[in-house]
Amino acid sequence: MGISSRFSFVSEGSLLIEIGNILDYEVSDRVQSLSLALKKLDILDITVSYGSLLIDFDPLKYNLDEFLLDVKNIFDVVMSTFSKREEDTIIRDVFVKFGGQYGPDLKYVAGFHNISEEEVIREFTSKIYKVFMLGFTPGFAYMGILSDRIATPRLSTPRLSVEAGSVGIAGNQTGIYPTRSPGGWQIIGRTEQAMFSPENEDPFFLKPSDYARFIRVDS
Amino acid sequence: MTANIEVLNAGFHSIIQGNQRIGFKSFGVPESGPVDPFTSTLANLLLENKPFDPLLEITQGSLEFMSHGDTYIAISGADLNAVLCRGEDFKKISVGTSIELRDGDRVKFNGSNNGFRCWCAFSGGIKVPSVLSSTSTLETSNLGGIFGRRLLKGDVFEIINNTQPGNKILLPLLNLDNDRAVCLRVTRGSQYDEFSKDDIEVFFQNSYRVLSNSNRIGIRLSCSEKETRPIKGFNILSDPSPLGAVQITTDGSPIILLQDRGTVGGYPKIATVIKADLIKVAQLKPNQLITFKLISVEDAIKEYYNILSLLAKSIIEINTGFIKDYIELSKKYNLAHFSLCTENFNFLIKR
Repeated sequence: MGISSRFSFVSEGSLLIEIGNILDYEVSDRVQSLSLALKKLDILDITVSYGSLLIDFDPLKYNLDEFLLDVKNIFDVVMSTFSKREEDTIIRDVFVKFGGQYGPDLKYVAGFHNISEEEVIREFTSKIYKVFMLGFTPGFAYMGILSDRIATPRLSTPRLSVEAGSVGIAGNQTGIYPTRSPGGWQIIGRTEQAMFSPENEDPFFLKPSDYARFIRVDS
Repeated sequence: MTANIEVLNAGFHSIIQGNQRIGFKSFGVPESGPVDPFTSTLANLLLENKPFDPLLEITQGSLEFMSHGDTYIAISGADLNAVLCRGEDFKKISVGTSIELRDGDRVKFNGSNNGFRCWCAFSGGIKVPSVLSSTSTLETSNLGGIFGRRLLKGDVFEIINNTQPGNKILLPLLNLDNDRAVCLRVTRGSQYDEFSKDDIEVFFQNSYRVLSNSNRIGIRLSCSEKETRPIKGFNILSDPSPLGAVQITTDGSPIILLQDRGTVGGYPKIATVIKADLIKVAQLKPNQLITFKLISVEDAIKEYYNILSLLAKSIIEINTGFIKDYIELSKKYNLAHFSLCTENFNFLIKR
């Protein structure tokens, strides 16, 4: 597929690079490879999303034109040498209790597709899911891509409070709430695995470009 | 010698903020830190602290605390009418000087109509551990500060208490006065080009009102007049949200995203407030009117430079050259707050 690109300074200290406006494995792999390569620049931070990334830099350290040139050079190298990185894929197991008090929306998801709750669980746990990005709140992993057989729109009105560890569906994405927070995703289950442990040396259970495998445990 | 601060009344919103949490945005962690990263540092610098040592960010006022042990404090930002209570004595605490607190002294921020936020630094900084390389509190994830939340009545925190401030005074070179209608300068946002020309025109013509449910995540706005047409946002595939981004929700309400925002979001971002104008943003009160003005990224960088250079000149040492420096700088910058400074000056002379 063709890779488009757009570079824009969206503030005096941030450069947005858009690679693709789509939820797609290859676009995401390219964004993540680029994000790793850009770390060799003297920059402050990088925010990674599905199809774009944002570089925060110190405007006192760079001239805008020179900075853009540096970034474009790295971009060209990454895009021309890009190959799908499968050999170093990390797959994390997430143990989930589905339905009932743990997954209050499992029934709705099943009803929405006119299948049984059991089939939703079987379908959901039959694939591994790529972590496309972490965002919205610390440690919240946006994963996919869910099969159309279980993809379900968000709740029309978000819940004021969703328990930590809740596993949700929104369209063909799935995600795990790291902390109790408001949320509009369809909650089908819950895990006891901590997603975000700030006191740990390695605080994040899932990282961009990891994969997650959901494993059913008895509720 | 140790000193502890006991919170007697937490007020509207008082929270510990320190350095920005840099390097974790790809894990969903925003930078946090003071809403105004310029003015806040001045409170620390008055006490010989490092610019981003942990201090209190006080919004609106009503905070009251008591010192257990002797220490020093300094306030920068809006004048929220802080008062020092020592036994039966009351004394106003001026913004921009260091003040000695003795064991048992109480400090109360009464609030004011003229500003919304101030920063109160303590000698050596507040003693809090660093979490993900920052001391700043992020309430939405219970990170940093004490217990990862705003201060509550009864909280006690420790002061490092290892600096002996010299005679330093703050010149109000950074203008915190928000006029009736505040003009925020912006650069083009991430989805600027996806809005119609007409919508962009309307966005910059409209004036907006600050809503009371604004917080450190974002300043929520509504159109100031009922008859004006709000521009409607749309859903996008979630993408990164820069600090200061102005996002337009699908119901048409703009939100200026601040230090505790979600790092990615699914609403289009029409503009980004320039860094220099975070000084004005930090003082926005509910109901205040604001407008937006588009400038170039190059001009935004110039304004950033300008603020940093004013910041560097803002603190002067009171020594033999003081009067000369003071008069020169006052003339050069046509200081609107001259009376406030005279008050500071008199206070220091008496000390």
